Amino acid sequence: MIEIGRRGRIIAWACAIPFLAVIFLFEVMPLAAVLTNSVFKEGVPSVLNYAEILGSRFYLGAFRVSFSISLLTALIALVVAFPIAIILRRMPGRVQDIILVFSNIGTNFTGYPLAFAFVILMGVSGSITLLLIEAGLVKDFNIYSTAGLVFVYSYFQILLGILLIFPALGAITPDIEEAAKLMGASRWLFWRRIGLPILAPSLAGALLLLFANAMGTYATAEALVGSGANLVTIRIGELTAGDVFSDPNLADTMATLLVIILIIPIVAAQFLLKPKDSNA
Amino acid sequence: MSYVEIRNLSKRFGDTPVFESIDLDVEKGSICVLVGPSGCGKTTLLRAVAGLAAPDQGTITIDGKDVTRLEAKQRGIGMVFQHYALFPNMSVEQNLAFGLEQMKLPATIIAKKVSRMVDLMGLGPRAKARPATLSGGQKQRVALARALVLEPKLLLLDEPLSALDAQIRKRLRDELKKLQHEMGFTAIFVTHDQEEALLLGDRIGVMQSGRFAQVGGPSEIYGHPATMAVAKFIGDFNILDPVTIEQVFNRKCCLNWAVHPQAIEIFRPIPKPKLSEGIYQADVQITGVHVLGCVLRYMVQAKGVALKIDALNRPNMTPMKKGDAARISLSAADICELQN
Ligand SMILES: Nc1ncnc2c1ncn2[C@@H]1O[C@H](COP(=O)(O)OP(=O)(O)OP(=O)(O)O)[C@@H](O)[C@H]1O
Ligand SMILES: [Mg+2]
Repeated sequence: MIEIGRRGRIIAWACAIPFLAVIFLFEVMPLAAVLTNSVFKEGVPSVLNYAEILGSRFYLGAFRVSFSISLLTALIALVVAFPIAIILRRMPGRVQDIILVFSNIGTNFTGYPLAFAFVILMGVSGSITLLLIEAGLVKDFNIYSTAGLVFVYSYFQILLGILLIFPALGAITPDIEEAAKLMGASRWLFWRRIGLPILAPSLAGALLLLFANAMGTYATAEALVGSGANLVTIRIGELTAGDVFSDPNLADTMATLLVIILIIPIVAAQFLLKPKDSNA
Repeated sequence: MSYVEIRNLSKRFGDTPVFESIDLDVEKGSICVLVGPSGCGKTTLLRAVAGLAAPDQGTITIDGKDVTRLEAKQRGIGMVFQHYALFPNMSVEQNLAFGLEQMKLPATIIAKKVSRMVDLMGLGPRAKARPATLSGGQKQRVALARALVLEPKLLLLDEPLSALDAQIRKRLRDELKKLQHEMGFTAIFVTHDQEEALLLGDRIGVMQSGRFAQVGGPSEIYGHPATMAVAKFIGDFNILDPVTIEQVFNRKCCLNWAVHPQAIEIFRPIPKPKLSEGIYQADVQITGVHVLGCVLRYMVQAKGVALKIDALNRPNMTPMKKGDAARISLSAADICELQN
């Protein structure tokens, strides 16, 4: 902490108050409300909401599908984005900037516009689908399916992966690589013994964020497959605003479970990745 | 034939040449220091010798073997970088062992070599520490140990001390000199610091825009700088152009002079100076006197030309004062005539 005088401290707190207020109003309050609602059923405190979800193959299925798609696309993104980020590091600064800006726009260009773009290109009669069928590479490709979701998710996940991994690569300076090279290490050995261990915490962190990003995705999935996809976010949306199945308390229960699913790996990672100092 | 021979070496990036047709010899068991202004190609030369950058032309021979086309790891070269370049995920010992492991040595021999080097460098208490927990001086000691434990044919050091503060820097410099005496390794050492260069270098190469302005022993470089660039690097010379020389000493010549401040004698004016061959004298006005420990630095004006003169600061001596008139004398043998 920087040493500041009493006056400075007061000013610092005064400046922080609006920010803390926003956090309180838009993060702590809603979360508390969601938590509270989840333990009420028809106005009385109960755990029936949890019992209903944990006892329902349908709702558990939503968790399973969301979890699988998120884990899968997070892994795909990591595996694809990692080498891209490494190659990008070796490019001239201008190319780096262009690709990073493009990735940045891409990761935020989700929801209806993204779904629409994919439908035009890869829908049942999308141009790329037809090309692939023409070329005999696929028989048919249905983007309105779980496989289709994985495909579309992977797109923005990879771009986010690049954005997350690229800065972390700064930890591997060229002279570390050259030092290893002069000592006889091959490129592969360098990555195995030095590069990956250095990056491991960042990669784990990136995987986690990618997973959370996919778990929380709603608009893109909703636009592409509507309520047909059994995803946690889509079920929550339906229970909150749907006209047939509306049950806000149940929605809040699912939301609470979603938060728990996201919190567990984050806490676990903090715990596992705490630097092990072998310094006696 | 020298131990390390660089012949006719050239390197360009695109259209801009970094250095052209460079020759350099390094004797076995000696330190060759490279100095020169920023961007003159010192790092590029080291990288070419190490095999990290391919030269466009020329040959590099180490211990009688042409290594110009060899891969970096086959050249037997150790390198120490300005910013340490330690492996952050490994302890001090593991950093040292890494290169030995690549040589596929038995574990017991690796352990023995590592522990001997750890002791030699005084790293014992920190042997199990990660680099992030070490001080700058310790880090550079680890980097040096990591290179030396492999017993490289040639050690390259690119400004290894410039990231350290003055005190640690001096200590490590002296340690390095001592270590070199004990182990007898051969090294090329890049620095910007003239004191470091004069102290460490058995030979010093002063680079100037991609070529060597002068290569020689420290006393040669210090005593007889060949060009303006070399004199500027050594610093602290009185540099006089032909016009000034004529003005002050009434001599005609066509080259610049570099004169050490301690090569000029200063004394109280005498009525009838006897002039002899090869001795140049002039009347001056003292404009300042500084006590620099064992040295007295006089700032003087001779016919409007500022000169600095160092005299030994003897105890019990009454120094001349600011404003005094004085006479200076300079022997022709102490003048360095600068080419170009
Ligand atoms: N990879 C590169 N691509 C293009 N130009 C380069 C490259 N590396 C170095 N240069 C240029 O080559 C010249 C010499 O650089 P070098 O790093 O060898 O200088 P240096 O003498 O080590 O300088 P310093 O004292 O600042 O370290 C510089 O003009 C530099 O801009
Ligand atoms: Mg350099």
